[in-house]
Amino acid sequence: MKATHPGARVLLGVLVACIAFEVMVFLYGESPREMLSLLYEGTWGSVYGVGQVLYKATPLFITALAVDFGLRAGLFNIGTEGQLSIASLAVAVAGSHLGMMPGALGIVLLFAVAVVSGALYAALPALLKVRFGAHEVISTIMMNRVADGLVGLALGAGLALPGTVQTTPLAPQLTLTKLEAWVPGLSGSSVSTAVFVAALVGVVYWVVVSRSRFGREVTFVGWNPVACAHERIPVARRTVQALLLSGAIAGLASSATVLGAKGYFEQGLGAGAGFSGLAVALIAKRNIPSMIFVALLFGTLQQGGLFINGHVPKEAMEVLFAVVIVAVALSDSPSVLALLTRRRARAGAPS
Amino acid sequence: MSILGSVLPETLRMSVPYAMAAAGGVLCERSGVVNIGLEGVLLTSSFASVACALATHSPVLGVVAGLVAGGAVGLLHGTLFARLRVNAIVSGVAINLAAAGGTRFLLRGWFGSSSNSPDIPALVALPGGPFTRTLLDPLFLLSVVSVVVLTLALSRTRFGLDVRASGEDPVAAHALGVDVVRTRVLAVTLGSVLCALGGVALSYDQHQFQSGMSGGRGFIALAAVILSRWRPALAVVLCLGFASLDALGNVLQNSTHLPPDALSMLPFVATLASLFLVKRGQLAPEGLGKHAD
Amino acid sequence: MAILELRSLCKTYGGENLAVKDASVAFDKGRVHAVCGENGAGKSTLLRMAAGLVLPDEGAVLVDGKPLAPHTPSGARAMGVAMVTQHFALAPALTVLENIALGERGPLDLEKLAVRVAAVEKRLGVSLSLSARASELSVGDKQRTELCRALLSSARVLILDEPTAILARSEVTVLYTLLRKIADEGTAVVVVTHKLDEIAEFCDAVTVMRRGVILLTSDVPKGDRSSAEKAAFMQDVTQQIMGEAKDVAKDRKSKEPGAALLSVADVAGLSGLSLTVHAGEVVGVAGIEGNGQSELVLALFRRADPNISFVHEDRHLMGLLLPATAAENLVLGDLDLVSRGPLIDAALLMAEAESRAKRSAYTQSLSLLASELSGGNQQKLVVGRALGRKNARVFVFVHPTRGVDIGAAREIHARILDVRDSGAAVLVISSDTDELRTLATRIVVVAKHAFAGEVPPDVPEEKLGRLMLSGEA
Repeated sequence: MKATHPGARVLLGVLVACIAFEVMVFLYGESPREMLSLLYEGTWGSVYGVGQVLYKATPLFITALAVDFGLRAGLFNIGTEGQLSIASLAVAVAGSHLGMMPGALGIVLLFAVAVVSGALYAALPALLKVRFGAHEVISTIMMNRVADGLVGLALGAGLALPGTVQTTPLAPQLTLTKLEAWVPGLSGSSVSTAVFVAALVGVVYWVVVSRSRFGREVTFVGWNPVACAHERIPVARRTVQALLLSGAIAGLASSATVLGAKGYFEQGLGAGAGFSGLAVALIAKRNIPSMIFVALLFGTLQQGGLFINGHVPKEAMEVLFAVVIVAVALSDSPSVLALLTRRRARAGAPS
Repeated sequence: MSILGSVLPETLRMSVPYAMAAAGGVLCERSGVVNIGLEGVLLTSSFASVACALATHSPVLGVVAGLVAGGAVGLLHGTLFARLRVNAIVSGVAINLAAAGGTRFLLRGWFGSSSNSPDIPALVALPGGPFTRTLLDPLFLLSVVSVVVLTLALSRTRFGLDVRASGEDPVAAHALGVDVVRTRVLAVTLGSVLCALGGVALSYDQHQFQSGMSGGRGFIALAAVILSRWRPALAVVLCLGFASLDALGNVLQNSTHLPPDALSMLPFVATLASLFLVKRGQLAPEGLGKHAD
Repeated sequence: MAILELRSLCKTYGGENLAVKDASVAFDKGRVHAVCGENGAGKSTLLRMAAGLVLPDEGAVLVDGKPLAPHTPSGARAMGVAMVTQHFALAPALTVLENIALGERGPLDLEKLAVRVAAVEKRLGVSLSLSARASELSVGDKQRTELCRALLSSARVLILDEPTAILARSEVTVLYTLLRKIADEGTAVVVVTHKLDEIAEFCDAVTVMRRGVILLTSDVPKGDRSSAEKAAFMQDVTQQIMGEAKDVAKDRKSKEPGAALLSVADVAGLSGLSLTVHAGEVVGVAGIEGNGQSELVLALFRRADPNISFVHEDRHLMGLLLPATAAENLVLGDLDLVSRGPLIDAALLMAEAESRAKRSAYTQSLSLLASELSGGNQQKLVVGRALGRKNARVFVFVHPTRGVDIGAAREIHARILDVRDSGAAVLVISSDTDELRTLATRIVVVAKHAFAGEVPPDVPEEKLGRLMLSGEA
């Protein structure tokens, strides 16, 4: 079975998103043309809009990498949502105690906090998976819900500033510089050097999965754990490591939200990035450049959704994500092709 | 009222969405289809029943609309997996995403609110205390009947045998002339209708639709399916346990000052804890997620 | 009178291998008709098409002159064509009765069905435990369950795919007696087999296939097995099956065995086995599958001895990564050898893969995906990986040529003898006695989870068969 070409997947995704968007807008009683131009205007139509799309796309790309690494090992890490929120809280709380730290060192330290906390929050599902055979889909979903509760509890128990749901803001040298400092047109946009962090993470990720022994072995385990066990590749260990690293990468997405945009953590910050990243990973299917494009597509839809929210509820965009996931998955399905060709064959056959 | 006196009827009432999602889940999975879209089915059916009840002023039609909507989602999932060979988890993720976004989209679009719909009329006005009201609730009774019917159908009917054969060994079932694809699509559709009964009960219980009101029950129900080792009666019993935690949370929230976040986590923590109790892959249908050729 | 007629059937898999090419044959009522040929000759594919399990690319399946429609298993059953497949179509978690019920349509009434099954049981003179789960049955019981199911629906054509591959000799006779009874009731019985003695003894007609083509269809001469006419006929059939290709491996003599490199004793689940393999010899382990062989392999594997290299039995399940390249498959498990620090050196990887490909005569491109290769080339990857393992001095091959075409099988046999001659100790576990005769210096027989005896490779087939089946010579 040949998979659809990565570029074709992205194009199909964009096309389906546009068509579905127009259909939804039309059914909602608004003008498809006006909404599309409004969507464009709010996103790629201005420097600020582009900045916001990049800002939205950054955590999606990082969490997509996280999900992708799990998928390589044959794991559906649906828990990036929870891993990210726990890591975000940890980064914000740690950062608020590092006020005296010089910037570079402090930021590296905070990245380390993000990585470690994200990985730790993935540890329980990993343990459940290899020791008890519990499917990671169930356990990571549960962990997401528990993370919601834990964050609420922690903020309520004194980690938030009194009377608010946000943590103490970080010292300025510990946050990532916003790009508006260099590009005046980006004034007011939350896009920051986290974009470059994401790019760096992407490059390192590519090296790990395609060039490193560890990354290849994780991929091998995902393809056929039984064969790997017979070749004495430590299957259980690689599985645990894959899920931990997946959680760690998800934690890094906090660089765009906590360190880049806000400088603090508040309840709900980054919410949805995990699920959307899952969607990005499923559509891009192991192709890192595709992940960039699909993350940008989803970033565009999210930002554009805010822009047209007055006319069409922005929640429409989540439905679009789902439609794109299914459409692209269908393009891979051997049965769809088979059905099409069989129909044709039947129609052409003499009776 | 004593805590027990209020927890017990509350538990029974709150168990319906869990139990029906679990019963539906058992039917899907026994046919060999993983269904993490139960959460989306709960949400969709809750919303559809409320929207229809409000539009037609008929609570009965609301129930029907909820069941039909749930069945439609199941039909989609079953077709995507069984006929079109899309990965069941991918399809389930998409369904949950679409249901979460779609219901909030329509909630805002139709009712102009991002949190809840207007109230719907009750299905029937029942007399008596909380206990009798729960036991006499037509949706509760219907749920009990459906679970019994499901158990019997699985073990005693041609359809049930086809479902089990498709789930245990799709290759053999296909070779023997069982239409595995059709059986699975049908099982997932009917299973989703069962689950939708839970979604309908959820909204009729609250007399309205609330954004995200399924609250993870579909996922917990799925865990109950696995913990029960794919047996409907046991899955329902486990759901009573999870629902009792919900009920306990509600009661404690009214009578104590425990933080609501801690209480709302209870069923999820319990589910995680219970996952430690099952040994790997025990007695799962062997053809789960596999195709006939 | 022909009930089932196959007309010009063609089937290709994946565009590469022609499984069946322009095959035409008719099967008559009241007769037991054998279809024979070597592994991969296309026998199973041909009859799976007849039973609606595989859709032919071209050609027609006619039952009583009417085309099979719809071309599905249920369509075939409805027209009276039933097939007992090699891998039994029994859902392990369901009971025998439930499994039998699966072969029927219409409302489920297990009580009524049990009565009808009892009638069939009586007719055939067999007895089934209807409430047992299929997973608890012996191989013979599974087969009888399948037969009862097929006969319940008044099968007009009964096809059995390699029904005797896993049966004890005594059971083989019982089976053919049953099949004769069924044929006498007016059914066309078709048996896929590659065992010539069965054809000579029990069958009325034979069709020979090689490389997807039907070479001949003929009546088997009547009379005693030892009659000259029959012997000549069987000689001819044998020649047709084998083709002109000569097995080079057969003539290679082994040198004197050297030092003992592998000793096995006290294997859990295989009592009485005490085995030593010396440098420069191939020891074969013969036996019907599931009689302790997997326990032996597991015990060896658990030693985690880097000197021992394995080719495990099921290449798709235990050996290959289908989405990975041939090169990655060849070096799987030894990435440390081709890495510098944490990173893989692509040049080293290719060099190692090339050297291993050479060891198993794999000649396709190393950048092809395993999923794009034929079964024979896939097996060469697994064999090449095992042969290329550094420092390995003991090689364990489990069914090394199963599901591989004859050419590739011979190539693999030659490579196994190469490694033997280079001074390694080789253990070959196979249920294919021909393979063991070709390769082994001596053959150890296991039966009923116990050591049954040791024989030279030129032992008479009869004696070897008896040992494998009963554990007694």
